Amino acid sequence: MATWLGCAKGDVECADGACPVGYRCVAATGLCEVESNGPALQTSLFGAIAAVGKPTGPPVVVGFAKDRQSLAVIDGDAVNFLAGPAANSSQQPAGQASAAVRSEDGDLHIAWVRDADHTLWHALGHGGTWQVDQISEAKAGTVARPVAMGWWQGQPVIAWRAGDAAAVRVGRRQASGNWAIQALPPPPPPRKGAAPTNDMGRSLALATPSAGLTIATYDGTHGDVLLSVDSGDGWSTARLAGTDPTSGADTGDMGHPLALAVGPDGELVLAYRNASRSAVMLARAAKGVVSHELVASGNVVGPAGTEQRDWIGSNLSLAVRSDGKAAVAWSNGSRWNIELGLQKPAGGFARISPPASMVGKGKQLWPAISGGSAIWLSWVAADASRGPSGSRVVQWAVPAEAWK
Amino acid sequence: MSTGPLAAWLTPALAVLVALAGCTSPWSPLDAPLPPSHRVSSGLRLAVAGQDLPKVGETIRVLTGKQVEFAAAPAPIGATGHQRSAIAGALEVAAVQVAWKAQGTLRVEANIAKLQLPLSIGKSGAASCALKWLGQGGKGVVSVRLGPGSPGQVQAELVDAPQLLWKEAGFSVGEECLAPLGQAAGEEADQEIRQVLADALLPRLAAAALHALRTAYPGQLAVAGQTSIGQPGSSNLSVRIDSAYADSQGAGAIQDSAGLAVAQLDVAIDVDRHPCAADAAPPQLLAQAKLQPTQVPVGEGLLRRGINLDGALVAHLAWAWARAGGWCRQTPLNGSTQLPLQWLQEIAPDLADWLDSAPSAVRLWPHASPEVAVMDWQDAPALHWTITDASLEIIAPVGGAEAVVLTLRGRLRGVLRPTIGSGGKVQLVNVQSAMDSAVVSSPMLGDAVAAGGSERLAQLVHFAVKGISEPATVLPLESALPPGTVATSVTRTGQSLWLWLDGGLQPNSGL
Repeated sequence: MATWLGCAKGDVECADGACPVGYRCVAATGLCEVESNGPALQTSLFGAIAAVGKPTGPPVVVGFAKDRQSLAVIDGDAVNFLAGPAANSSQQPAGQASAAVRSEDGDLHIAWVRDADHTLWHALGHGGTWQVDQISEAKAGTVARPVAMGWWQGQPVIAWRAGDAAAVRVGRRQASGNWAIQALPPPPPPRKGAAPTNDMGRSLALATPSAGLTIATYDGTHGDVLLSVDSGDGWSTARLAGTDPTSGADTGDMGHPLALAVGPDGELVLAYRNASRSAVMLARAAKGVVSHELVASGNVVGPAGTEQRDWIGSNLSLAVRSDGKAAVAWSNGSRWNIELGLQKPAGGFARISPPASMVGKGKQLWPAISGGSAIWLSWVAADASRGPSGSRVVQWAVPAEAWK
Repeated sequence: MSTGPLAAWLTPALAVLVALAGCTSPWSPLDAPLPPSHRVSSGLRLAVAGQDLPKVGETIRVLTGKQVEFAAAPAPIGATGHQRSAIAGALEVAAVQVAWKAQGTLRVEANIAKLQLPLSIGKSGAASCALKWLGQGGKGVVSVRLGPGSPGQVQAELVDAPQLLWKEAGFSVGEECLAPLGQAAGEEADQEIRQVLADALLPRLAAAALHALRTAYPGQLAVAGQTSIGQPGSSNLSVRIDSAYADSQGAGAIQDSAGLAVAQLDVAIDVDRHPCAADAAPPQLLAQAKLQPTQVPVGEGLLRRGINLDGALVAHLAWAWARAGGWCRQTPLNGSTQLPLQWLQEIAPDLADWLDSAPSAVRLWPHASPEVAVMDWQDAPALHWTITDASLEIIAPVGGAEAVVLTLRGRLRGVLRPTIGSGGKVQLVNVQSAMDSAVVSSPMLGDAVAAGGSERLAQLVHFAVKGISEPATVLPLESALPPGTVATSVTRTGQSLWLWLDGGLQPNSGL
């Protein structure tokens, strides 16, 4: 049982809405108790999800179950709550932001932030069992959303935003099981006389290309994409987008959000939002050369023959196929649906939507794309009439012919 | 789509009116003359009030120098073998009067205080003879006007040669020193001293008068050319401007009108259409043919002058800025512009469970060109604008990702009040806005959201437009007018707006 906002001892009216779905408020104790004979527990996720591919079948999806105020891991029909009241009724809500990565031996590693006390947590899933630990080396009270995860030199690596909003921290698990924490060095200003960066990491992603451990972060002060690489000699940071590399001129607000992946040759692939143009972009960095390409623009025809811009890309996800072609999924905030950009062999992107048979009349939110043997697109399907608690995860294997 | 404040549309107003000629953007000649449909004749007027002329005279006096020093080395007096000693002193400019004369000529008269100039005359190797040169009733006279410059432009010019006139002047003491020289040589010595004094005073007085005239009626207001303006998220747009002083080919550029010395400019603007803007023709409004009598504000300045923006020009500028995409706006909401989450929840209760927190941004999409009129709002001059069809989008975080949560579509209107901020800057402050017949929809809930609480909806519209309008746009006077120009007040006459300005004189002028 757990205490819950609105559920109070002796409060006879506390039963309605005082506890998450699947719980009832017990007036005698003021605690929320699992309804043994209540409605079937739902695993409706709310907010960005992470999808981790498997050798076969649909990926594992990790996200926050708002109704349960808990972190849920969905693998086919199986649902595990790793943190929050649904995992343990004495726990506080947890998992509002999470990230996941699969190790070389198939174990699943998940990291998340618990907003209530700004702590960082890690779970290791192995053979159907889970081991959950707080990363105590990340000082409680300093951890903020978002969180990103990767796999580097046989160990999980986690990046998160520091509570002071001006820094990003990186934690690497050691062979001993302890975590070594370090802060990313502050980036150089984009140009002479520019203000120092004081808002960093509202978006971040982590990848491990051949160049070394790489973290992409959003510089909210200047609207830039920062790319920090630790190639073994310490961190070096460059501005990848948002500032002209030659003149230092501001070229727009870019990088919130962003996603990273690694191509088959170890090159870095980055998807990011260009907020100034309401566009989704893709960048590739290999051998010191960076190229940028438009994936999709939000331009649409509005009333009276005017052009408007859909609010696209405020949530996006990226995967790279074994042949190096990228798949970018993003949400369209003007329509509350998701779209997919598939890099065509002949160049450019095919812009597609999930099949109508899977979409129905509802809305689609928070896409997550995952690689592996096939490219899978996962999202949260929502129905206005049922509210967030009626949402469900939908997964679609992107057919090979869709790329042509 | 622009991301600055809504009121920024008036920026090109001054750019057209004054500044762009001086901006650093490269300009090229117009490919073709702008059509009459894009021209507002006499849309802009520059004026100096008659009651401010005494202060203008005083300003010219200070620019000239209250004490004008002169000096001359010893010089031979004709072929007499005599020599005048070195002379030095200062002319005291006691007062300067200015008055408009026929054909827009400003006559400037500087009264010179009584001058006593001691000197000596003698032959080399002989004892010198001391004497004095006395001048009374001295008056430096300069006449300036706006004359024709390059086509459409004007330039401040001298009407005729400046003069230094004396009521009484000559050697008053020690005339016996002059006797050996003869009358002609004595007169030559007298003329030579007068010339030294004139050479000291008149260039300074003329320069001060021309500077004052150029400051009040800047020649660079006349612009003819085209340039491109950067549009965030879009390719550059071409802007074409042609503003010219009316009557600039003659001497009548400045004419008396109801106690004001007025110069008029015709202003034409055209701009490429930004894709987000409605394809509307410019409003066909005619500027008032004659300037209406206006109440000059109480108070005075160093060089007070007024810029009069006719309502027709204001409307044309609003059209041009809209066509350039200036009314398509996207603004983050935070701090003082934050919209309470509760408002959205009251307007669309079914949205409540989806929203993480208060709206983070607002967007304005105009589907028609704005109509703008100059009229009072709460007894103060204001710009009333209306867009007959526009959409306001409210963006808020949903599960950590921003999305459009509410769209309001209808007839949007508002009031911008020009006010004087710190440092004499004119800023346009949104003081009221509303949407008539608003249709509320949501991408999540569909096209027929029942908007709960019309009062809340009105608040939402007002604060959303307020958010778009903040921070208030500061008109770039300094880029359009002489550096140091400040606004002192804003008034209205009929359908036109007056910006009363001061300053803009050279910083090293001693003022």
